[in-house]
Amino acid sequence: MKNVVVVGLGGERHALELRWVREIFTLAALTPVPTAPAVLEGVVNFKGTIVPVLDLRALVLGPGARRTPQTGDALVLVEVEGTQVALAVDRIDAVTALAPRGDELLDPAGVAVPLADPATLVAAARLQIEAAHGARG
Amino acid sequence: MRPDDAELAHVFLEEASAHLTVLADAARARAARLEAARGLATAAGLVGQDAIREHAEAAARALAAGDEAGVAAQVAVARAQLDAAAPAVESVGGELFAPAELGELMAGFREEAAEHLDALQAALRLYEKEPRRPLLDEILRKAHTLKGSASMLGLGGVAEAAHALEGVLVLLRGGELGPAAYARLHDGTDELRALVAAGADPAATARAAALRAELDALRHGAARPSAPPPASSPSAAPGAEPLDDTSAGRRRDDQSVVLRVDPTRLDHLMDAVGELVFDRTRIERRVGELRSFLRELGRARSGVRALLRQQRLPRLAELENEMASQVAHLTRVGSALLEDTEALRRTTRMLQDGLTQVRMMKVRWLFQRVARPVRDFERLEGKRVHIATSGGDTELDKAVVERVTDPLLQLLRNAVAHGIEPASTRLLLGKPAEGQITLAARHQGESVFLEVSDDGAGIDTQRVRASLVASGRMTAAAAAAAPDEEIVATLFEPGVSTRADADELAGRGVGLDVVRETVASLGGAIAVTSTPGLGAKFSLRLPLTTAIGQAYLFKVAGQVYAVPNAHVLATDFGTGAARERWSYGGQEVPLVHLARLLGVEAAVAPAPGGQPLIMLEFAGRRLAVTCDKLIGPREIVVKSLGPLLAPLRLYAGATISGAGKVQLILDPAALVQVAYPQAHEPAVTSASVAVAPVSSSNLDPRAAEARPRVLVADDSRTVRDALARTLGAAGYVVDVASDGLEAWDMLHEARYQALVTDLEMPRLGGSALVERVRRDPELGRLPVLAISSRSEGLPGADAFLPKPVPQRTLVQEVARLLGR
Repeated sequence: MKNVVVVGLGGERHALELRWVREIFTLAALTPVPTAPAVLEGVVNFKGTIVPVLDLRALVLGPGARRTPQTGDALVLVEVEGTQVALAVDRIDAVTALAPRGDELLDPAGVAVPLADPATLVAAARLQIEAAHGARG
Repeated sequence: MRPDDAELAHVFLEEASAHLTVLADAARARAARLEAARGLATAAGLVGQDAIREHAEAAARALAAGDEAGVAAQVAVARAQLDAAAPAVESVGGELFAPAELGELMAGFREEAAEHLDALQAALRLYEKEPRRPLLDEILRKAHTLKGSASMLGLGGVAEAAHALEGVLVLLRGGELGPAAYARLHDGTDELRALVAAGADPAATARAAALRAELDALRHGAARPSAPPPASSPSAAPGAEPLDDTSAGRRRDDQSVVLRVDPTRLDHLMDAVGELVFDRTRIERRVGELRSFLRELGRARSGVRALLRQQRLPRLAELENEMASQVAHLTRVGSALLEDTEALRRTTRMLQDGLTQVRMMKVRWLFQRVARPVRDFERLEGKRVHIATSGGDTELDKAVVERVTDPLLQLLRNAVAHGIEPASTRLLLGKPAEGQITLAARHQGESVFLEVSDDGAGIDTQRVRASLVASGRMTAAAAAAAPDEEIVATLFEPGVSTRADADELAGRGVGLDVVRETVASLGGAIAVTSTPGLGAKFSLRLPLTTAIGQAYLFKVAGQVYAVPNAHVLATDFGTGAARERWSYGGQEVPLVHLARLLGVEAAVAPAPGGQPLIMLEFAGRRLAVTCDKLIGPREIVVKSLGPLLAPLRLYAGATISGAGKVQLILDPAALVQVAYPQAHEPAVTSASVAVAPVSSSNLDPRAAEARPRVLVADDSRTVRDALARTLGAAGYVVDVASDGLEAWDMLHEARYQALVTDLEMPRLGGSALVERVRRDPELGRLPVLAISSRSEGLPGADAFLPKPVPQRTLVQEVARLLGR
C-alpha cells in the first residue's frame, strides 16, 4: 500500500505520493511571472518563502489542458531535492492508502489511478522554463 | 538670513550658552562668573540682542551684590531669550546644504545618532553596575561624536544638549553621581533621542533648551558630595533574567572573544556577498550555455563523421579526429567547470552564513531596548508593570531586530495601556497589584519566536464582535457564530484596527495592522491567543536572517515590480509611446517599453503629465524603462526565486509586500541586455559598477584625472558625508576614512593632495595621525586641515577649523592649502 494524496485534474484522478507532500493550502495572492512559460502559474508567498506555482493539469495532461488560476484553488506543496514547489490542482479528492499495480495504483473499487511523480514533473517544468529563456536569447 | 549672519548667529549662540553656564554655576569663582556675565553682555550687544545684554548686565550686578537668587532669575530669562533667538539659527543647516542634500544627511544623522545613543545607554547601564574606565571613555566618545555630528548639520539645540550631557557624564569619572542621577541621565538620553528624531523642528528647540538646563542643573547638583558611590552588586528578581548583561559569568564569556566592528563595514561585506551571489548565478547560466553548446557541437561532429565515412577523405578524417579529441577535452573542462560552480555555490553559502552569524545579535539587547520605554508607558497609564524576560540568549539578525523593534514596542504599549488592569481592579480580582508582562524568545528551525504575554484582562471578544457589527464588517449572526479565534484575528486587519474608534475593539487593535504588515514584510507571521480575565499572548514568528535592500518600486499592468535602487539614476515623465530612445542628461538612451517586454497589457491611458519613466544605469550603460505608475524608493527584504526559476534572467529575486504578496525584482543586467542587444558580451560584472563613476559631474575621465584628491578622516558618518559632499561639489575627488588608522593606510594607497581630519577618532586619533604623517618621508609635507568641536588647534596641522564648519569656509581653506 502507498500513502498518497489523490487529486482531481479535469475529469481524471491522479495520485501524489505522500512522501513528497509538505502541505496542502489554498491560493490567495498569486503574482504572475511575465515571460515564463504557461506551465508556471506564478509565485506565492508561503510562510516567507517564494514558492513557484505549477499547473499540474498542463504538466500531466499537456499544454491543451491548461487551467486558469483562481483564488481559492487547491495547492499541493511538494519538496523535491530541497526545492519547494506548489502544484495547482482542480480538487483534492482524498488522502489515503492505495494498492500498487505496476506503475499505477488501484482504488478500493479496483479502478486504476495513475501515479504522478513530482520529481519528474518538476524536472519537466524546469526544462520548459529553460527553453523559454533560451528562446528569448 | 545671509550665510555670514547665520555663521555669526551660530557662534553667538554657542558662546552665549557657554557664558550662561559659567554664570549660573555657583561653585565657580565669582571673578570667572563676572567675566562670563560681561562677555555675554558684550557678545549680545554685538549681534543686537539687547534684551540678553540687559539681563547679562543685571546678572552681573546681582552677582556683585551676592544675590544668587537674582543671578539665577536673570540667567533663566536670558536663557529663554536665547532660545527664542535659536530657531533662526537652526536654519543654518538649511543654508549650508541644499534641501535634498540636507534631507539625506539628516536621515544618515538620525540613524547614526540612534546607534550612538543606544551604545551610550548600554555602556552607561554597564558602567552603573561596574565603573570601568574603558566604558566611560566609550560613553564620553559617543556623546562627543553626537555633539559634533549635530552641530555639523546645524542642529544647535541637539548639539548643545549633547554637550550638556557630556558635561554631566564627565562627572561619572569621579563617582560623583548617585543612582538617582543615573536614572535622570537615562531620561536625558531618551529625550535626546526624541530630539534627534524631531530634527530641525522649531518646537524641538525649546525642548532641547529645557533638556540642556536640566542637565546643567544635574551637573551642578552633583558637584556636592552627597550621593553614595553607585551600587556594584545588582540584585536580579528571582526567576527572571536580568535585563543587563551583568551576571559575571556571562560577561566573562562574552568578553573573551568580543571584537568590535563598525556595523556599516559588515553591511558593505553583506552587500558584496549579495553581488557575489548574483555573479555566481550568471556564471552558472554561462556554464549551462557552454554545456548545451558542447552537446550541439557533439551532434554536429557526428554528422561530419558520417559524411566523412561516405566521402573517404583521409586528411579531413584526420583533422576531424583531432577535433574530436579537442571536443572531448572541452567537455571534460565543462564538467569540471560545473563542479567548480558547485564549489563556488558552497563557498558563497558559507560566506553568507558566516557573515550572517557575525550580524547575529542576542535578543536580550532588543529586550533591553524595548523595556526602557515601558517605564514611560507605566507612568502615562498610572500602572505598575513588571517585565520578565526569557530566552535572551536567542540570536537574531541585526536587520530583523531593527525592523521588529517598533512592532514589539507597539505590543508592549498595548499590553500596558489595554491589557493590564489598574492596580485597584487587579487587587479586587485577586491578582497582584503589579502587572506582569513576559517577553520570551526561542529558536525553532529557521525561525525565531518572540512572545509578548501579559496577565491582564485578555481581549474582550464580545466587544470586538459588537464593533465589527457596528462597523458593518460582519452581520450580527455571522459575528455570533464565528469562533473567538476568528474574531480575535480580525484585530490584525487593516481598517479594523486603524480606525479612530479602535479602542472600542477592546482597545487591542491599536496599530496591530502595522505590526502585522511589518512582520509579514519580513517573511514572518503573527498570532494572538487570549483568555478572558487571564491575559493575552502575541506570538511573532520571524525569520532568523534576512537580506535588506534598497529598491525602487513601480507598477506595470497592476503588478508591483522593483529594481535595485543603486541602479536608478532618476525618474521622469514622457510622452510618445512609439519612441525607442529618450534623452537623459544630454544623452540619447534606449527606451525599453516594460509592458511590451513583459508581454502584459499596460494601463489603458498613461497618467496625465505623461508616462512615468525610470532611468537606469548598469555597468556603465544607461537606459530608460516605461511603467504605469511610480511608487518610490523602499527598503525591501530580498528573497530568492529559488532554483526552479533561476533561468528566468529577467528577475533578480523577489520581495514580499506588507500585505504578504510577492513582488518581483527586475535584474538591471537583463534590462541592459534588452536595451543593448548588439553587445553580445555586456560587461555585467557588478564590480565594474562600483568603480565606474556614476554622478554626472565626473563622467569625463580626463576631468577626474586633473581633479585634486582629498582624504577626509572622521569617525562620524554624518560629518564624513557632509565634508565629502561639500568638497566633492567643489570639484575634489574625495575618499573617506572612518578613523586614523584607516586614513593612514589609505594615504599609502593613493596620492592625496590634502588630508582633512577630525581630532577624536577611535584606534588612531587625529593628532597621532598627523604626527605619523609629519614623520613620514613621503607624506611629510602633505597639507593637513584639522577639524574639531574642541576649540584648540592641532600641532603639526597646517590649518584648523572648529566644528561646525560652514561649507564655504571649508572649501576656501582647502583651496588655500592647495595653493589654488
